[in-house]
Order: sequence, then structure tokens, then C-alpha cells
Amino acid sequence: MNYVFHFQSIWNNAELFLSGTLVTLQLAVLAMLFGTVLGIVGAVARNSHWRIARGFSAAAVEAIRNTPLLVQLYLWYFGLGVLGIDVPPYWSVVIALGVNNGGYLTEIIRAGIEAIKIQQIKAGVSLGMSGFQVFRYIIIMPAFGIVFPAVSNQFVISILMSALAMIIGVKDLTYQAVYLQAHTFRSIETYIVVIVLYIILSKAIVLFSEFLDRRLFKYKYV
Amino acid sequence: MELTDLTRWLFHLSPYDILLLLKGALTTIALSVGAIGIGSILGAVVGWIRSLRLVKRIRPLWWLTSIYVDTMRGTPLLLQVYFVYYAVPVLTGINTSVFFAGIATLALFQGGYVSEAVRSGLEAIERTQWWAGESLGMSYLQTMRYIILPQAMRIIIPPFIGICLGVIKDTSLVSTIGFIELSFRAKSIGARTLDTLPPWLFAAGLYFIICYPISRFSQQIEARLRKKQ
Repeated sequence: MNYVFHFQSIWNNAELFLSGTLVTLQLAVLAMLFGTVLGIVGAVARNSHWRIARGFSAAAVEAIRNTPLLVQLYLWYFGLGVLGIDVPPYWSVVIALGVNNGGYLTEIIRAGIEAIKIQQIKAGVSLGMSGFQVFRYIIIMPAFGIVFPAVSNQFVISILMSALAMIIGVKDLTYQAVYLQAHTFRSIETYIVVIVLYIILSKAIVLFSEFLDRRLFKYKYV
Repeated sequence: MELTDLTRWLFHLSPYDILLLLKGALTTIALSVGAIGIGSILGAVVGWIRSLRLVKRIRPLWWLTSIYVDTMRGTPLLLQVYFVYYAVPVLTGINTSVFFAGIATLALFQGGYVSEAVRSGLEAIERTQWWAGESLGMSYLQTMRYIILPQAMRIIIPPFIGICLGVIKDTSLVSTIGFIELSFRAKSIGARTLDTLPPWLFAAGLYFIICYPISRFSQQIEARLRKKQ
């Protein structure tokens, strides 16, 4: 092992790493937002009175959780094309990753909603809250408070999973790494930098969600 | 309508392609079993080392294991696959085969996650349990075997099955370096017939058939463990 490290070529291409990091972050955040919306809808459907909504939500969750994201990504990418909807790779990644997040978040949010006691809802109704107010202030927000660690963990997974975007040609951090190592032949250096960037990203998200947790759910820490 | 006609109508797939996909599914299963087996042993050892009080006191040792665990848990598996396949040969001069790189990466990945599950399980057991074993005249191994592990297993098993499920699904990623398994077969059939959707749908179905029983099994185990408490 007498390998000489040369980080000069990495430094010369710093802007590629920067743009890759931004794309990765964008993908993860968009997919997470999309997934949260889907997750809330899915969790509500899971507890609804309609059997069709319950069954559909359960089936979708099982399908999402038991197939690889790679397969789902290809199915969205090619499937939407077959249906005649032309989606650029970037947005098919957002859709695939968002739906995938939605499947996992449905289960997470459902666990949170089921932890809310029925007396809480009754208390809200007796205070004269409207249905939407009860849903927002008594069901969803406290449910998020209960399962927030799991949600933030899903966010980190979302960052890591967004690396699959490079397979269909979206220029995220992993794409830039593979591109650079092929062009500069400095594979070790490139990968070390990208690994460090990913670790920084995921640690930053953990710290950010702890901060968010303390801001949004102050009552947990009194 | 004959069965072959039905499958052709359903999936636009020839029986030969279906055979290829089934063969790919077998490779996926074998790859998962190999990676999970090696990775679990690795993870158990690393987790046990990290749960030791001695290791936590000697900081360099702790950092060394932390670098491994944090790298596995903090970077995408796809990047790890590329790193092992493209960068490690440059560093060491050993040319790794696709087969070796695929299994090694997945096993390392599994090991990183399992080690955290094992560590948290072992650390959840109070020190008084160890003292109880000692005062009964048990050796370290006996205390581990008869007092600590039965309690720790209850905490370790649910996340462990979840990790295994994740790794089975993530075996699809080694197709990107040319490991011929289910996803690779689906991709090549799609490229050959120019009809990309049917093989991927079929592959998704096969993955579902592999994963669904395991996820049901894990739900049952979780329910049973919850009842016991």
C-alpha cells in the first residue's frame, strides 16, 4: 500500500461537489415533504370508515415496503412514460422517493395517531373546536411530537436513498463522484470526500431535527 | 387460453425471460443469505465490542469502531458499492470480482446496522444483572448465555429483522456494478425487448413474494414480544 494521495483535482472540481450536494439535499427535502403529505393522507385513510380507503392504504404500504426502491424508481420512470406522461428524471426521482417515504411515514404517523387517546379528542370537541382544528391541534401535531425521532430518521434515510437518483441520470452527489472518478482517475480521493460530505449531511439533519424537535414540541422538555 | 399465452398477455414476457427472472430471484436469495449471514456475525462482534465498558474508556478504540459504524450508517449503500468495487482495488492493488465486492459491501452494510442494534440491546441490560451472575459464581460466558442474552435478544430481534429486510431489498443495488441478480435480469430483459415495464413489474412481484412473508413474520414477533412485557 504505497498510494500517494492527490487532492488537487478534487479541489479544482469543488463546484461539482457543491452542486451535487445541493441536488441531493433538494431531492431529499422535496421527497420528504411529498412523503409527509402522503403519509398523513395514508394514515388517515388507514383509520377511515371506508373499507376501500383502508384496504387501498394497507395494500399500497405493503407494496412500497416490500419492494426495493430501485425497482420502484424504474417503475415510476418507465411506467409514467408508458402512460404517456413525460416526466423528467429529476421529478420521477422525487415522485418515487416521495411515494417510498410516504409508505414508511404512513406507518410511523399511524403509530403516532393511535397513541392519541380518545379523551383528548373529546376534550377538544367540548372546547368548541371545529373538526379541522381538532385534527390539526389535537391529532396531527401531538402525533408528530410522539413519533418525531422516527420521522427524522426517515429524513436521513431519504438523503441516503436519494443516491439512487444517479442511476437514471440525475446529477446528485453520487453521480458527481462517479463522474469525477472516471475523469480524474482519483477514485479514492473522490470517494473519501463524498463519503465525508454524506456523513456531514446526515449528521446535520440529525442536529437540525433535534433543534426542530425542541422548537416545535417544547412541551416535551418541560 | 394456455398458461403461456396468459403470461404473455399479462407481462409481455416469454417463458424464457420468466425463467431468467426466476433464476435471478434465486441469486438474490442466495446473495441475501450470504450477506446477512456474514454481516450478522460481523455486526454481533462489533456491537459486543462497542458495548464493553473498557472500549468506551479507551477513546481511540471507540473512535475506530465509530468510524466504521458511522460510515456504514451515514453514507448511501450505492456509494459504498462503488467504493468497494472501484476504489478499493486502486488502494490495495487487489482486483476484486463483482461477486466478492457485492457480498462484501452488503455484509459490511448489514454489520454496521446490526452492530448498533446489538449494542443498544446489550446496553439496555442493567449492570446489576451482570453482578447477579457473578455472585452466583457464573463465568462471563455463562452470565452472557443464561442471563444477558435472553433479555437482550428481546430488544435486538425486532430491529434485526427490519435490517435483514432492508438488506434483501438493497441487494438490488449491486446490479449497478454488474452483479447478475434479479434487478440485473430485469434491466437486461428490458433493454433487449425494448419493453421495459413488464420485466420490472415481474421483478417487483418476485421481490414482494420474497419480502412479504418476512415482514409479516416480524410483525407477529413484535406483537408476541409486546404481549410478553
